Amino acid sequence: MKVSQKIYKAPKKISFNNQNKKKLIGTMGLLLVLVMAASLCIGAYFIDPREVFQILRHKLWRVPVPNGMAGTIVWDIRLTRILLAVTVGAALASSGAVYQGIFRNPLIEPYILGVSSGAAFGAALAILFEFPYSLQLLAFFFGMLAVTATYSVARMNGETPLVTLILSGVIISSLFSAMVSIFQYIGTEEQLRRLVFWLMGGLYQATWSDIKTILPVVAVGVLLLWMNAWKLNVLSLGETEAKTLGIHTERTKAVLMVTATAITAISVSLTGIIGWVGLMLPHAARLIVGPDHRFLIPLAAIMGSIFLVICDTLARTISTGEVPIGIITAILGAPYLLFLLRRRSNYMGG
Amino acid sequence: MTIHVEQLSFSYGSHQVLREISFSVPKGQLCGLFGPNGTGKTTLFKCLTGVMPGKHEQHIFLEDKPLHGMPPKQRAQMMAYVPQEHTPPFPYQVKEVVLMGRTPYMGGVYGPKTSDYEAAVEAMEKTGITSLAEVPYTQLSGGQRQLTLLARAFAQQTEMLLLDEPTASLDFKNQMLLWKTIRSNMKAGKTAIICTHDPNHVFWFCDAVVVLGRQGSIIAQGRPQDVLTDEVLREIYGEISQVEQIGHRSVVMPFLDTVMDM
Repeated sequence: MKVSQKIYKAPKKISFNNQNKKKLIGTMGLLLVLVMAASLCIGAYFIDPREVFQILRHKLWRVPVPNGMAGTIVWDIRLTRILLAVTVGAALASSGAVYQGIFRNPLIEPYILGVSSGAAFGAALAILFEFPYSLQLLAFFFGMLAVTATYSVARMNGETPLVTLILSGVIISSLFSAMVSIFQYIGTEEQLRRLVFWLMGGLYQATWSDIKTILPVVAVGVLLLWMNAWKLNVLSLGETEAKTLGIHTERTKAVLMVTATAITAISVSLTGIIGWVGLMLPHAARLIVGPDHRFLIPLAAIMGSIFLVICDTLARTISTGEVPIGIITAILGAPYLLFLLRRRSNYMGG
Repeated sequence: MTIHVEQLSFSYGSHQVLREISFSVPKGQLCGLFGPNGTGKTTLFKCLTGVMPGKHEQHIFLEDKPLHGMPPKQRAQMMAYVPQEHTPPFPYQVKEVVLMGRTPYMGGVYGPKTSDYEAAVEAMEKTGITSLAEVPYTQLSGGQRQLTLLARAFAQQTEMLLLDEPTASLDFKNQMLLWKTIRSNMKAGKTAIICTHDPNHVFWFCDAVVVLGRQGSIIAQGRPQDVLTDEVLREIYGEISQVEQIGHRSVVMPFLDTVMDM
């Protein structure tokens, strides 16, 4: 466990200047824009960057430019998917960072309290009983319901100990998963196919109306998480210490968890269950910028966006059909985590 | 600042841990909290820090103000807590950990201000850890970690300091270094309560001592020379030691022969 003590040069003057971290986040933001632009061009039908630029100009500033099929592809198909990927990636990665901070464990992911199992149950309900237009609504509702159940079960005497919370998350999750299995058992083959495809996640259904719903919610949510970043720093030292440092721990925990859960649930309800983003990207961001959540949350959000845009671009290009994005994130994610586990066992062991 | 505890009792469910504890520590005094394992020292400490809210806090007063119902922020501006050193999960730098001591002075949304940075630097200078400022806290030795936690408490700029066995896992030199730092902080008129298992540390470094006995009640309190007598030590530990004088200093000497025979 013990790492060799490095020799550190004493700094001449202690500086709390965080310019480098800010620059890093700025650079990552720029990279995100580049990745988004590249993704707009790439696809089964390659579109010249200059043409993409013309189309965007036309759509945003009403500059009259002739655009036919390419316009539809760029604006209504690719851009919606890219924006959805950016939003969902940011939501999952920033709430992952927050959950890891609260639970003081770098191996926690945002689905730990049962939001994904609840959402899966809601989706299964919608698919089997054909509620019209309500799959997303039900997925969101049951996702939130599952987390509320987890939280209520764990709450005793006005306190919610973290270990109890994780255990009740496991219990509630397995309960909802069991019910999803029942649906899989009684469903028709067609329903089963839809359900499995939903469970593996995908951004192919993105529409402008989805974007209009999710983008503002996630933007406000991530901002709220970020505003509580310093409190989260203190909270991640442990609850007892946070209390003696003047933090209202139950209140802070509630604000952070409700926000993180809400943006996770709305993401899952629109895209299905996309694993690994909420586990891997906060972790990678922490390796780059350090554990200070004031910088970790924005960096994780941006890196989550970049990662999901790349994964989704792969999902729609590597084969003639659509590959579920959950498969791609897992294939890229598992080796990364394995690599980390071997390289930095000291850090992971926490 | 004076801390005053009056008729404090506490139980976990039906298991009573503390029975009618009363003591007070006046401003400028370093008071040792002393007693064998399992006497409720840790529980008493938790009550004092205010991390277990409840009715019992009506019996604890900071400068005549009851701890009960005091907002966490206000409490944290009056009283700082130094936990036993531990390994946190995330590699915050030392300067970041110390800066967290400024939390009770920060606004709701925004992080630290210039004055907070200055207070953190000053606290690090006081504890002599400026050279460690950029080192990840997770890579420090036990002694360095304890000094960092002490610096964090100093950065909190409170009148009252609660220390939970700060020297428990330190080597001899670091133990003395820590006591020196704590003592020099007392010169500024602070008040402190310190949990310790070492009777000699009480003799040498504390102005007063409160001795907790097996039943969760106080069996003696006062100046260490008056309180830590052979009788009191026999009552809590049995026949294992006696108090000897070296110069004008008292030293608790174990019966080495019986130890070696066993």
